[in-house]
Amino acid sequence: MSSLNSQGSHALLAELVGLSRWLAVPERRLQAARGLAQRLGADDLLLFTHDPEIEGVLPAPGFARTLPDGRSWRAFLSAVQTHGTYHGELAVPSDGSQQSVLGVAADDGTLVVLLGGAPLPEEVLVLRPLLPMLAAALRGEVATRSATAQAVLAEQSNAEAEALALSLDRARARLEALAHENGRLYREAQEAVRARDQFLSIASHELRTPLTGMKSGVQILRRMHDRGEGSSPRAEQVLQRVEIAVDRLSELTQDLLDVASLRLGRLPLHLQSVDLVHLAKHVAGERREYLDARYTLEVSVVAPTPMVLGDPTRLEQVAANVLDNAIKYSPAGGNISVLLEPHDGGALLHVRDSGIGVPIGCVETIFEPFGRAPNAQRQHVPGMGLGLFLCRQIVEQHAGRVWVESPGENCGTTVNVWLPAAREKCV
Amino acid sequence: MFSGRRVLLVDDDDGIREMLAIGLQDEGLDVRAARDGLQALALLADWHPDAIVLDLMMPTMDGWMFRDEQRRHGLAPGVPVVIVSAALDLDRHVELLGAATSLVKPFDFAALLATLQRVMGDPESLT
Repeated sequence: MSSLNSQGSHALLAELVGLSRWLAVPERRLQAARGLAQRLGADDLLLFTHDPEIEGVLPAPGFARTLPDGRSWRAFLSAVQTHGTYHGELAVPSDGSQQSVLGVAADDGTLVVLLGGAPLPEEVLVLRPLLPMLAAALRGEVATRSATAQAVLAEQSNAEAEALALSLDRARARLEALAHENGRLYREAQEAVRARDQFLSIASHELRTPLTGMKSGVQILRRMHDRGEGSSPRAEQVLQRVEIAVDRLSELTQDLLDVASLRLGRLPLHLQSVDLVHLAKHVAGERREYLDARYTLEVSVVAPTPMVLGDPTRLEQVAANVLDNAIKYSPAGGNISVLLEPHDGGALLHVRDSGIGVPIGCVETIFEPFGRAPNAQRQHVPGMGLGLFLCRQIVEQHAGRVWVESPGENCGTTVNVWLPAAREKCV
Repeated sequence: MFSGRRVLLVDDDDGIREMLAIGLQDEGLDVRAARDGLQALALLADWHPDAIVLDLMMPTMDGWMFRDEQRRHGLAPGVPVVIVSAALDLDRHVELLGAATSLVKPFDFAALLATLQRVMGDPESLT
């Protein structure tokens, strides 16, 4: 049957394939892979596995996380999956067994091998730099096996040939499907890492802003105090700003805690009858106190609006968030109108602004955790992307709905919150 | 220490802007404040500061665009700029924007004073 060009390569390849069985014992996995890599003279090794005990892409201890040229393993895998993939079933004469192998040999001698017996490979070993001799040997082996299979096919009956071809095709299809699945998992993992990094960056920036106010404010107050001006109107002005910064930091940390709670289940609600009109007027009144002349903020009750059953603290959080968004996303100022009306057996709150709007196709993105519209990010409007996510979770826990309408960028936004009526009179 | 020296303060956060303005005025500085690059450009049209304290991430006109426009219109050329930001990799932004230096938020107020004193130089030596 087939043979490899080099006895040395042959032995290594046999060891590589034999490793797949040995790797079936989880405790030996890293130890075995590392030992093999060292014997091959490889300076990097990644072990990718579906084993829940070793989930994800792990560098073996002592090996680098990136290729010597700076590329990530994932980028490398993507490249070799696009160019030059070799696959087939390899015979290993030393024990006469058959192993399914998908080998991806890159031009630089790097070899990616999906190892494992039927039905599906379980491991991906990436060895670098694998001896170029071995990479070439693998290519030669695959080509030889292919030629041999064709020769066998020519000599056997049509029925046997078709059965063998079908078997080979199925094996190949399984391996290709696995390669495709691995690619998808890599992309998902990459996206998760990117989202985490982006969140850390945004959260860090958002938390630093109120911290800066608190730190500077307290230090300025200390200097005023040392000069005997600690009770001056200017000191009072700074103190008020410090208090606002403390409140802002508390809100941000509360949002983060709420998100953490939601990952464990629902937010606890303390239900009672709530007058949404009163609540909206109260929240708007608080904001009017600090809005400058660029803004107008009006609350209108279109028609008697029913009471709702809800947690007043959580519903105030929703109203405050929606109103704060209207202000924040109107950096040049403008009119903000709050309308309340009865609708579909409940109370409907609309908050309209004339701000930067939401790009077409993004009205759902902004409800995702850490989801922000591209124009908001581009224009450096501060925010962690948690407010509307939390609003929707809270409103839906009240059996209500929240949705956003916007004609597009720079055309303003309307946020609508509908809550079912409590079985009481209208106000 | 700063008697008569002028500082333009550009930051979109109302609290930070107001507190720093009060703190710097208490040290004897003549302070004008802007909430974004656009307001800052308008102030520079008829007022020449000795230093600019500049946040980077601001709505309407951010710090990068402000520097572009400032240079394009030849406003306050050569005036040292101190970047104050929570942005990552501030050293690179200092270089790209031709700023004198930077302070990472949250910074010490005393560090801002020391930085301003350093970048504006000793007024006696300028005369």
